[in-house]
Amino acid sequence: MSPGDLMEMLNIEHLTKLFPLKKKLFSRDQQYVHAVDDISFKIEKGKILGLVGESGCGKTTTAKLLVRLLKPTSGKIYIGGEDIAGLKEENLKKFRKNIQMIFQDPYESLNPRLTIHSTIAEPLIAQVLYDLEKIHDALEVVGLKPPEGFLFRYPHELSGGQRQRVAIARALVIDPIFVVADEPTSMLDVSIRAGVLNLMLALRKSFDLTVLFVTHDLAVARYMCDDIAVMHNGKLVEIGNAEEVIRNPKHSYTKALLSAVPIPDPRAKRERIKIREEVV
Amino acid sequence: MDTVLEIKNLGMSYETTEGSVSAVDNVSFRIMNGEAMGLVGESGCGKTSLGMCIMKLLPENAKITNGEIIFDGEDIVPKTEDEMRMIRWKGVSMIFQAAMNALNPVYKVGDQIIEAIVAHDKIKKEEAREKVRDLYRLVGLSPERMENYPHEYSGGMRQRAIIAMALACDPKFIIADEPTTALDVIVQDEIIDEIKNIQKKLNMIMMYISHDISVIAETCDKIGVMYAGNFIEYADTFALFDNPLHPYTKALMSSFPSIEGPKKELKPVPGEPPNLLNPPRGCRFYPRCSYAEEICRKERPEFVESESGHFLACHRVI
Repeated sequence: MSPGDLMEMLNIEHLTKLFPLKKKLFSRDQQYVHAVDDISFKIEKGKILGLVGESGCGKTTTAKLLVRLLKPTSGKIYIGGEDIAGLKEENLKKFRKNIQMIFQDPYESLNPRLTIHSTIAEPLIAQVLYDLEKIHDALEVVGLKPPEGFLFRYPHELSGGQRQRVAIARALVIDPIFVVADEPTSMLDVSIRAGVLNLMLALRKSFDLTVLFVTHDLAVARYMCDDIAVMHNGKLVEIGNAEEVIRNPKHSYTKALLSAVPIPDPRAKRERIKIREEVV
Repeated sequence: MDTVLEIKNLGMSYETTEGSVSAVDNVSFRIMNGEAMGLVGESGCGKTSLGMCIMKLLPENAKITNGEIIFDGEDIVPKTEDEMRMIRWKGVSMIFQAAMNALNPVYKVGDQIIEAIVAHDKIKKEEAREKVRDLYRLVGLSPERMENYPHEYSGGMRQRAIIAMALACDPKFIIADEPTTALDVIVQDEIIDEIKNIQKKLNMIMMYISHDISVIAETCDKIGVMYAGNFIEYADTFALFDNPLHPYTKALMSSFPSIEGPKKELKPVPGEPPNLLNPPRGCRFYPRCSYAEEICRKERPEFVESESGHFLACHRVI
């Protein structure tokens, strides 16, 4: 059975990541930060799960664990039926073909010294799959047309929206089955952001991608995702259908998060729920 | 109501090796006593440049080419650097964008604010310290925090300290330049609340710069929309949301997802903002505009009052 046939593309069980703190002098106990604390969830094939929460809640750590840029302390990560949590470095290469990440800041995630061609060729070369045709196709699907016009340009010649499209092309060029997108539009301008969001929705359909979409913006999560998982202090506090979570939040933290989202309507006066009493 | 800030036909350009870039072009507006005006637009549209013009904190290669900035009855464009130093902080003050970079990492935060006060007001250091204590309480920080260094503050606390610093010399007019962009939603919400309350409490006028029209909707009485260095629409917040007239404003509003109402498809504004080294000759928005006609390509639309209090620069709507 090929990995693509399973209903559950991604299945995470009791995933935990501890970061050791610096020891105090003469102290024997090692203290840990529970960045990701025993979380479990599933994503069905072809679905987008939004992972939301405020800065420092463990969203990005979770994303990095799923692409194995970090090694989990404990727990299981099944992708297409295979547990990758314990895979050793040398066995990761095969798995990396199936899973790709799109980073937050397209100004930082593209190497300024590489042409667009070399940037997109990198994952292909690493997997020994280089083919100029594939690079052309990838540029075309992300809307950078004609591809010849972009191949030998450098990132600084492109706008933010175009750079993020290059980053998406780089992630898709080796046909991954699962994509982790870490706040892919938070650095983009509003008028450009809508275009990139729509592009990701279109690509999800045409490639039948499974996506974990990390964001702190609930309005974006509602627009993009089938399901939403809310994270707080390393734990999942609520998970469910996106529309249901937005309209009818169960957990008090989700309610507070929703009440903080600005609404593009001057008449919308909401009851604000404060999470912290006072800033110290 | 008296006008506290009036800007008439302001133009500013940057001299670059490739030519001159007109970042602010023929901008006119007024802010009345006690009002908060929001300034929205995409990156590079000239929002921050306009703020820097009013502060007269322009880099060497930038200059104000024409127009007047009348603040408190006086045109500040011809003022010298020495005269401006008297106006900055006390008259006009600014909450800067990147709270991470606006504070000096090797000085205690409290001392930095005290320094700003002592430099402008002729008061003793101890009085200044007392004042900073009050400012800290005003912005929701504990006064003990004055003894800490910037790295010991969280992002939201740093932004609060920056607000305290901007308020240090009791300014009449405050420019908030994307004060919440680097913060996450919950902290953003707290800071917006804080700024709004302080602005009303101290009865200052405010110009709030943001690319996020929903943040502006929550904070401001009037909204100015900027595109490629031009003011293209200016109206009361309610009027602008109920009845946006300019095609760009309409496009901007439908490119936002919301957590309220039915889920609707986002429509991105097609194309990219123009290169200001060589802006389109007619309306600067026409290459991206779906209503564009021959006249839009040839003639720059004037910025005129189309309805009472609703200003607009568009050939097609008037």
